[in-house]
Amino acid sequence: MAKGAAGDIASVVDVQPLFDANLFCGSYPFRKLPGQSAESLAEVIAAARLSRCVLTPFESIFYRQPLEGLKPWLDAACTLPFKPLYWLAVNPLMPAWQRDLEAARRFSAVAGIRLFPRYHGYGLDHPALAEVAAAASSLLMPINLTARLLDDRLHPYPLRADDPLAMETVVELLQRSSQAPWVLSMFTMAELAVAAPMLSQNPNLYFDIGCSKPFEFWEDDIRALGAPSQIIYGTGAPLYYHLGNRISLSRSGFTATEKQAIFTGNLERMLSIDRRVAAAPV
Amino acid sequence: MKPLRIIDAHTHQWAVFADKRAMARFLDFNPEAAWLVLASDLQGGYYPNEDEVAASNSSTLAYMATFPDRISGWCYINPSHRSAVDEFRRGLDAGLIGLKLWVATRCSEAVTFPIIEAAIEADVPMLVHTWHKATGNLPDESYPMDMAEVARRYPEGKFLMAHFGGNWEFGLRAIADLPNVWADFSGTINEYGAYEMAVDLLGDTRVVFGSDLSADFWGNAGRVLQGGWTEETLDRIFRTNFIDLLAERDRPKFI
Repeated sequence: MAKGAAGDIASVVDVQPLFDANLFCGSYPFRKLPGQSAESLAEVIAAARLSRCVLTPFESIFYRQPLEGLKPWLDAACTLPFKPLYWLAVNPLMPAWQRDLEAARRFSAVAGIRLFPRYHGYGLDHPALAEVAAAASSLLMPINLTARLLDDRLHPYPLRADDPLAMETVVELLQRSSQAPWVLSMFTMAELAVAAPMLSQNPNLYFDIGCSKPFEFWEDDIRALGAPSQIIYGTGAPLYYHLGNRISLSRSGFTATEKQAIFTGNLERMLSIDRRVAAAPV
Repeated sequence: MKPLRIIDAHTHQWAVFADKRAMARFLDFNPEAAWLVLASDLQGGYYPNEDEVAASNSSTLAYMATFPDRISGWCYINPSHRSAVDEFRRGLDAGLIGLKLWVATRCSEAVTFPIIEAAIEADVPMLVHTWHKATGNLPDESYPMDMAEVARRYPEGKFLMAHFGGNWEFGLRAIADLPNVWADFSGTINEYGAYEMAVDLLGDTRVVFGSDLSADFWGNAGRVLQGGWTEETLDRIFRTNFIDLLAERDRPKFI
């Protein structure tokens, strides 16, 4: 099918700079996606008009040695239009996870660690998770807790995940580890609503609402969560469509200042915590 | 690029849109949403009784009366009711433009055949909810294979398979070879590749835009826009494919 230029976001909304908190790259095992090579990833970045991003290679999620999935992408970054940051997936059930955490600290491009409890098979009350959270917290290293990769109804059989995270256990985890900067990513808006009271208790807690599937009237839903200063935006691309949700947020009733904060400023502020930590003695 | 004029073939007046003021707010702020087709507020849950179905259709008609230039509607039916065909004809006579089936019966069950035959007789399209869920379907929720089965049984019927079958990689394959089945992707599934596969597999003449409002309108429209299709293809998906499905008398003259 011939394609034209009609997909230009500028046809329906002003383009805003976007610091994407949730961009994927690499080989997704169940479907062919763009972004499997650095060249293809550059095209994704250009199409989505990203100004910066935090990348998660699929390989670092699915490999038992997450660093082996990350390192090729650290090398490939030089061909991208900007230097990306990375989430390093850490599995608390793997022996010597401390080595992964140490690597995350050592590589300046690693913004923080990312947890996938439903795919790595541990509960949020697992003692090993508490240890990882405490260690990351002592480094003030951001922790991204990811609820899911896909809509639960779409999981392919080999990726059958554990049940969705009970939000009560998420809240308990956040209460136990309130020193670390946390990001809740790929939770639904209804799930985030349960954890919303935590926003006012922990200024280092952030909600990534890019893949939270708000219904119509985004502004109402997001304001109901409270604290727009703790809302960040990740596209989930190329696993997810990047354009529609961005249009919705851009056309919402937030002020220009609030939109700038959600699209870029809040994430920049959160990651500046990490920059300070990277320079600190361990 | 021409200004967008979008027909949204799959919407609901539920959740925030149970309040007409929310609908007015949406329509005022989104002139691109030129024409919404309501698939009712689905009163009565999964197995509505006759009064609840009638109330749902009356609600749709009330929205049409309030927003006559912007809103039309499907006639929602529970095929297991003895009055189903009568209620359907009441709805069409009042101005509804097609049949909406949800999860009270699977569309391939015999109990559904009389209402399908009534829709064929009236020359109106049928919007059929389908899903193939990894988490398990509801007991009487149609799978895409049900859609395929009934479309083969009634080749003269005009079927619109909702949600691309939910799990779109499964659903689109199920109906790929059936020229009397169109498909809409409406809803919250935002995983990339669905529209791309649909246009590849069905062609750009059998893909219809829907949002499942109160699901996010632009979240859905952006999935189409991201594809970078030609203006001709965009116009088909956003507008003319659905118009072509309608009975001549029901086609909007102003879009």
